[in-house]
Amino acid sequence: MDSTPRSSFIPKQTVGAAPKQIRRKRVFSVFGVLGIVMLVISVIGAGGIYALTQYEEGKLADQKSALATEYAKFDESKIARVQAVSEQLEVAQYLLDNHTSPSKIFDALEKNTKESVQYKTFSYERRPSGGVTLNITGVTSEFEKVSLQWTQYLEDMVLADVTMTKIGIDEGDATEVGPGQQVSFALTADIDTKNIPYEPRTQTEEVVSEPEVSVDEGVVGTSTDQTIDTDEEDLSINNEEGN
Amino acid sequence: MSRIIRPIAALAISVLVLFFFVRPLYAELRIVQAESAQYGNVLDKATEFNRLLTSLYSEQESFPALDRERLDMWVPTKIDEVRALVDLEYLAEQHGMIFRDITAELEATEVGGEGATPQGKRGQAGESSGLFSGRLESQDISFTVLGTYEQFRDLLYDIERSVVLMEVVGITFGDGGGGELNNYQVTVRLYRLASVTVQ
Repeated sequence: MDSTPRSSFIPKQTVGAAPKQIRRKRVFSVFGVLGIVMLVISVIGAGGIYALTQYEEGKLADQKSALATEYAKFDESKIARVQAVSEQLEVAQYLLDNHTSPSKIFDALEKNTKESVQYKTFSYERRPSGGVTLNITGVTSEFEKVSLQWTQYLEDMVLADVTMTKIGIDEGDATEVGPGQQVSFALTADIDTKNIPYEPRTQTEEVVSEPEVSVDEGVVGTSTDQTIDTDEEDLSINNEEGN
Repeated sequence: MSRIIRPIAALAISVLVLFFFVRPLYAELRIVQAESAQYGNVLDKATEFNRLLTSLYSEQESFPALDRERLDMWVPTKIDEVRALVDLEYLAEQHGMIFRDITAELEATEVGGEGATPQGKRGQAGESSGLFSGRLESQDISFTVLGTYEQFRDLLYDIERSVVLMEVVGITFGDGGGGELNNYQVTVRLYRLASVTVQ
């Protein structure tokens, strides 16, 4: 039996003293943590994907709108005009590139024809497949001069492909050229259009070119004799070899 | 008991969210991204096209009027054979030649066939070009001029450099029987671009 009398029902406690700490026992389960983590990840992931989808859809809508604006800018008449002029330029360039200058053939013939050679007929024909066919007939006094003339053609770039197709005496069946008779010849050439291109001349060039032509003609006349001498030697050698 | 149920519920919700929300949304996202990429590509091309169109149009508009006129004369949309004959007769008269025996094809023929020369390069093709097949047409005009060789040379040179393209496709002549005057038979080809409709 407790002898000490109790002065109060209220338990005696020091004022301001801290209460006794109540310690709760917490149990951390790995399974529980994993579940929470997965839940958080899935919720965040779902939010992220949703936001990204919304962003991409917005971007797509903007692109569609921008594309519609760009299409609205298409001016059919402008397109047609640009296309037409472009096509015209393309064809113009093609025609210009393939434009030929037949007068260059006459230039070449004038420069490379011996004085003793006389042309009888001339034919120039542009082939549908491209290129030019040239047919020329002429006469001269001697067989040797025909050969010399042919050699002369070969030296010129334009006439380099000339082929002698026929050589004969103009009258009768004689095998030697008699008095009053002439040696006739026919030649043909397939001339590449690259060799006779049209080249526009400027005014200055035209003025300058005039005296050059006359000078060239004089030179041709002078040099022809020299050439004949040299070529005749060559020809005689060839004849000897042929014999 | 709740310690077990709560993690299981969390996992179950996670799985449900992943399979029934995230997965279909991700598939939709991929589709939207692919579509967006295509639209982006088309938009780039459309922008580039508009830029190029504006640039080309400005460039063409800046051509001098004289150059445009010469281009239209060089590559016309219509062959004016009467005008060409008048021009040729005028040129012949300028060189003291007599112009006669005119033969003109009634209809233009299409230029095309084998041996195309792409990009208009001078080459083996000459007249033929599959490149402009159906678009480029030609028409031949033949005529005879009477005059001296020198006069004919000058006339030929003028025809070659004519502003209206006259391609000389045939020349035939003889020695004229020894006289100074001679008949020169010439065929020129005129061209037109069939499909061009410049406004």
